[in-house]
Amino acid sequence: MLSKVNTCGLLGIDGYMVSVETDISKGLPAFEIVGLGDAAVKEAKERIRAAIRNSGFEFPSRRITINLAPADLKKEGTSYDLPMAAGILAASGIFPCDALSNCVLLGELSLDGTLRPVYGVLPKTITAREKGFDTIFTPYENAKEAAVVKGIKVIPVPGLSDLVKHFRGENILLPLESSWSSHSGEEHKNEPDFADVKGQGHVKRALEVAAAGGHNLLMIGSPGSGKTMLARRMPSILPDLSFEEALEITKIYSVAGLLPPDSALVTKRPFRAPHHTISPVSLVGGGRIPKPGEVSLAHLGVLFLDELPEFGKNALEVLRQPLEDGFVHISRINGSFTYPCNTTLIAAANPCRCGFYLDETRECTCTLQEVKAYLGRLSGPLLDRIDIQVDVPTLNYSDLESEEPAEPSCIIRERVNKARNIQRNRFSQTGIYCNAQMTSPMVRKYCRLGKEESDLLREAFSSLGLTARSHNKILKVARTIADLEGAENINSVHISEAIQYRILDRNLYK
Amino acid sequence: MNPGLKEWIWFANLKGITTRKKVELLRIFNDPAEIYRADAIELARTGILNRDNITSILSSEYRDTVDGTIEEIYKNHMDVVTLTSSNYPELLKNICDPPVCLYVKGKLRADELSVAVVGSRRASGYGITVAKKISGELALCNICIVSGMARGIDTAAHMGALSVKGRTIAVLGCGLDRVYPPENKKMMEQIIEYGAVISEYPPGAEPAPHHFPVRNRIVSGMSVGVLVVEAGERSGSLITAQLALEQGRDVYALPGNVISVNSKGTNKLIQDGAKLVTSVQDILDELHWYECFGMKSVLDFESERKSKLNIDTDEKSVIELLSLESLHIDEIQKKLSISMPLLHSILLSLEMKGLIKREPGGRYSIQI
Repeated sequence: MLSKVNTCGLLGIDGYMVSVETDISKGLPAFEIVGLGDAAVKEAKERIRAAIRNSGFEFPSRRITINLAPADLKKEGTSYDLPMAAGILAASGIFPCDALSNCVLLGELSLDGTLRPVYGVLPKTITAREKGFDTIFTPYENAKEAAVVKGIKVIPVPGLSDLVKHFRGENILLPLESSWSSHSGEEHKNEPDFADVKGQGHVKRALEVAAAGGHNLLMIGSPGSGKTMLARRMPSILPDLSFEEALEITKIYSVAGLLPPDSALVTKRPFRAPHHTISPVSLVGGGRIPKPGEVSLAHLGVLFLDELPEFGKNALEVLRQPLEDGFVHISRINGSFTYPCNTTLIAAANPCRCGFYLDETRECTCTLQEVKAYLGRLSGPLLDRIDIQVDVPTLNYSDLESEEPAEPSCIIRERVNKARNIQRNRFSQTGIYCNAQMTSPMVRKYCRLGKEESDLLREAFSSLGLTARSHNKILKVARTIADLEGAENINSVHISEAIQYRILDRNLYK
Repeated sequence: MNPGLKEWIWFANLKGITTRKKVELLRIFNDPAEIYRADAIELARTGILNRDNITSILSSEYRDTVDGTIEEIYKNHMDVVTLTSSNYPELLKNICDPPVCLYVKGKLRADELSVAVVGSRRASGYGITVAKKISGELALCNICIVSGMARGIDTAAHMGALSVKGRTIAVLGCGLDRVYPPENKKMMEQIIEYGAVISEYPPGAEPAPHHFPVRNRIVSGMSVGVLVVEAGERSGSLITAQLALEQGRDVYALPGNVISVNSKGTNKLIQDGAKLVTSVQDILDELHWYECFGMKSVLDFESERKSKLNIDTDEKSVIELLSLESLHIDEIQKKLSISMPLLHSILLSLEMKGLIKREPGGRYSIQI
């Protein structure tokens, strides 16, 4: 007898439909799985055999052939366990085959027949809904994640025997209600807040501008000046996540297997801070079966690279394309995958190797060449992608002691949200969503300057020794500053502030 | 080619004999050629040479290498100025150990009014600014700026003089075929054009650490006075100041912040009696009897230029604040309580007007 069960596979962060065809025929007892399964799929035989027996059914001692169609795409992972087991039980007549026609099954089996969580449930659920299926059966732990997708019934399954009872109509399993509602405010509760940071007003302002326009930012300052502390507070002022954005982030985390069990959506913008010993592959993604790297895990959030010049040269250079394009394309023998990585890069660097160059209280032990060489490690093309550069001075004691309350993140976030809304409206037809992503023609269109402003910019270029590469960056940042103010046109105050954020162009450190 | 040049160079390059002894020998023999030809008895009779000295004079080791040195001199387009040359600086002749030969690129003059400007290699923005300003103004008064072309203050001093196309002389601690420090290559070419780069070391000599204190005596010896702009507690500039005193030169020092490491040495000099200098006029006052050299009194271009700029009230308050001390942008904001975006634009506008300067690290200070 033949049965057909629907399930999903993963290609990058997108799912595709797989149909599990099971044929039980006469002949010597055998169990074959075809359709380019990896080791985990081949090993499923033993799990399925034990799970069926331990759930109180008989494993048919006949010739069983399972085909995972389309048979020319590689299948990996353990989520095919449940559909294959269900296929065998349906083909051997334990429950009617037509019960399976409009539903999708996912899940790993343990030997006693209970289900274990798998990864990539969210993108698979989305695919199932898009393909018109009305029900998806998932392990209990993954159900919340799947329930985020509206328009498809998600039924959590405790074990194989419960599924059989459900299909026989003996004990109907109940679908999980979509648990996700508007979340604004809640998720910022336990985050580090800018109110904890004393002083450093101009760095906070620069971070606000960076958050508002999605600009990459570099902080230069001595150890102990609070660079890391400031960067960690960046997510607290990033604009609220929309449902689509949350979905996109969750997809990546789901594929990477990093979604905490029993969680629905990622509701916080990610903050990724890899150590500087990270390899190029773990930064942009890769591996035999390519997994998303740190840039993708920071999608729509913050990628924080502390001690930027200490990162390997290769690791920094591979960042160039993803930062520019907003996606990484990885090709491996097992296929090519595209992962999105629209992230805000926040980097921190010491001004020199020992860190105390320019520090007023401690003496720098580096020679002048060493000082020059240190920031010289950052290549021009990489710095090209960093719109805002600020210095972070060491705080003096009176700043630390001051009782004056600093501005809390929620107030800053409100301003950022407002500026982002302006940008969203401006770019609604263009496929981008923030000022940092503007292309040159867009800069010409949206960053028009009056006479006074262009005179100022021209004069600044000649008197401050700015380089041509800063021109567009200054305009983009000025646009964001104008948006923060709600101003229609860029004025000279906006331009001036943007120019002040180009310290590396001005050779102040060389 | 100067007929006695070979012997001069040979004599100057003899190792193991102090410059002081060499000068005494020249007094006895008149010409290095005679020393070249003298035998051991004649040399011993002078009573100032020990056995090792005589051996080194007679040895062929130094005699054989002279031709090679001369070749290098021609190849690198250098001049050699000897103690008896007409363009050997008069002032330098009067110290107790004047260099026997000077290798020169550019033009050296015998009677020139020079002031040495020296200081720390790791100078602060304050030191660099003042060194540039005072050197430039001295150069405008036809005073030649002598320094050592080292990093920091030395470089600023040369740049100051070059910025007004004034004369400046760099005294190196290595052969003139070297550029040390290498980043000053371009500046060295400019110095050769507008003044001279000199050294007592033959071409090929390394910038060895012990060369520099010896070189410092030439810096001070050529000058009527030495201005120490910034110096740490154990700085080479203090050696120069000490040498200047021994040579009977004036020592001027720029006062600094008492907390700053860079000003410890200069403040100490002032305590010990060096002339405290706050503007170029303080140096000119000391030099008034040299007016025959064609020294001009300084013209006040700066204040004229500044009075023409229009400055609004906000800008004025920032300038007033910064004229007390250099401040970080956060500190300015706290003191004036102006909004950050506006403050950014005020600072940029002042910077473009040339009234304030942004230092690395985000500090702002008054541009003088």
